[in-house]
Amino acid sequence: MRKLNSILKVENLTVSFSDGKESTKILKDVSFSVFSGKMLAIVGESGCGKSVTVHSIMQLLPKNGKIDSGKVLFNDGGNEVDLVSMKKYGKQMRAMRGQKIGMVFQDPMASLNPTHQVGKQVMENLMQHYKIPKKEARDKVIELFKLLGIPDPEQRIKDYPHQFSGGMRQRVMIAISMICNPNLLIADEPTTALDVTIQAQIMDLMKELQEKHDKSIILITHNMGLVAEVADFVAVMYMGRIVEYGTVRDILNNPSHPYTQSLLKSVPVMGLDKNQKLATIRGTTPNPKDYVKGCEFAGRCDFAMESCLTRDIPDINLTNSHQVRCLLVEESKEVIAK
Amino acid sequence: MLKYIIRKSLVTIPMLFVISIIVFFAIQLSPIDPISYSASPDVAVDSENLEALREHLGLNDPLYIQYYHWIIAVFKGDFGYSIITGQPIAKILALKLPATIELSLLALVISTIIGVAMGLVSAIKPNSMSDYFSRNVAVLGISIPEFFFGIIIIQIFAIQLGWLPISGRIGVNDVTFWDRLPNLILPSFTLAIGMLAVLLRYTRNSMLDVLSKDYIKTARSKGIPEWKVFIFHAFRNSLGSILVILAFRLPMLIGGSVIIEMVFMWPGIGNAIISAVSSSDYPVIMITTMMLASAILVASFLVDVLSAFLDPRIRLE
Repeated sequence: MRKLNSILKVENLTVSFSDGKESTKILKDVSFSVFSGKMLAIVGESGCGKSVTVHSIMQLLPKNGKIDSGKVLFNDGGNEVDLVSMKKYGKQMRAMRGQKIGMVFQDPMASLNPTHQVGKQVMENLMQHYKIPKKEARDKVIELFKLLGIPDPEQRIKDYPHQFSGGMRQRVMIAISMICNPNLLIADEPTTALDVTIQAQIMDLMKELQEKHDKSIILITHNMGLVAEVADFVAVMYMGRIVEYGTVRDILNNPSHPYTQSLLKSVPVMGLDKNQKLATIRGTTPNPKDYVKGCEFAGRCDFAMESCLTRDIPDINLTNSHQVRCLLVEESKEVIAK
Repeated sequence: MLKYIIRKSLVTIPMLFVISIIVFFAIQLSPIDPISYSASPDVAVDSENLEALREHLGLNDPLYIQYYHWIIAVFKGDFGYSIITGQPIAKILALKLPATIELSLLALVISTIIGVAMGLVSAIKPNSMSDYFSRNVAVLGISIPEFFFGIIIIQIFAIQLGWLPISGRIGVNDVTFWDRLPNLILPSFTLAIGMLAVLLRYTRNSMLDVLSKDYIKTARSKGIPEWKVFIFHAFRNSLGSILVILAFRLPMLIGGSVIIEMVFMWPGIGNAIISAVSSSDYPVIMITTMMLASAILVASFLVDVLSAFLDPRIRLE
């Protein structure tokens, strides 16, 4: 395996949201790396902090969200810069957004401006970062539309979002994020709002961008099946923490955190006996306001021990690439060591 | 777009007819006998004379014939005569309408500029000092009745400070607009304050609503400066609902100026309406009512066209 260069390193990122009275920690000590030319999938239930993580990277958190500590180190052509240290809407940060890091959002119906022509919306990103004539920008957009499989691009750039289907809108959205040729693409559940056949098309497209054009991609999803197909690395999040991180093989073949195991068990499989019940994870996600000492998952974990609720839980390296945050693993490791 | 405008304007015409019918027949329901007003007392003594007059004026014809005569005349530009003063109504309008339009337009301009600007500033920095200030202005503007506000500013700026004239429209040597401006300032500000408050609230709310939309996040993810996000994305998309309020306030500025015109002795259409109503001058009531109704129709037509212009989803349907 050739040495992997990381394009983005998130270190001990802690983010809190305030409701005016008190603030609640939504991300706790999140650390992970995104490697050049690879796709990292961040998976987890709704509300586990997946979106908050990527919004923090882009500094696009809503007004009541705040990055408390941590670093987001972005490799800007050999130059490592800390995105957290930049002013939210300052020049430096804005130069990153769109130009160096592209972002695709969940709902293509809502994330395109309904009153602007789609071509204009894509051009806006390009012309913000490069001083080029309008005509040239237009040609570039048409070229990219072609590459992304939008038929009849010369005409369609003049259309408005409501004249496009969901899948085509998501292609436009991808065009917006790709037009400046950024090395890192963040896709926040890009296929959740689309129907299944279109989902596959969009994912194929993203995979192609990653492989052929050597892009690094952070894919947020809660679709484990999708993860198995496209991701190179996987980070499993639960309650604002990364509980397991590893290559897609590590996670699928050797899921070590009970949460990851139950997530994988609850994936429906084609041809499953219809009388057999799909596994679920008992209980519900706790309220992030209720502070839990120890492991956040302990309350829903079938293997929870007393120490899970009282001790600090360490991150344990299983292999070079595989980390897990669980006491069970620590114990079994100790047993093996003995 | 042109097709859309034509279609919308075609809908307006039958609406005007319906309104004219309602206005005409509603007036007939009132117990006023126009003859008793227009005939001089010595003629009115003999009921035969009255009957002859009635016959002559066509008042004994069936109502639909009367309506037909009236509407044809109105279309020809003949609005009839005031039964009180005997003046042609067209002349009354020509005299009073410019005064009201002058006042309303100025109020519209003032309230739009200040209201929208304050609403924008409020929305860009919600819960800041300027937002609190604007919101308080809005509450005051909505809750203080216009006439009361008018009296207060007359008291302060005209009587105590003596900066501006108390009332009236045209002084002895006032020829140009600039000569008349001092007289205009107080009434137009009074008229503007209520609308300013409404516009401020609408601008603020609709901006805040748009700013929470996903496509604002998309705009930010392109790295464009914040002012561009506010103007090209947020304000552009909130304009629709602001314009609706604006256009529908247009006729209300004319109707709503009735009280202001009384307070400031402004010789406008509001004054004419009040005196017509209090003296049962029904031809004048009919024409002025028609005029206000048409103004509302024009406003809603404007809303349709402007929203279509602003929103491709409406335009391209």
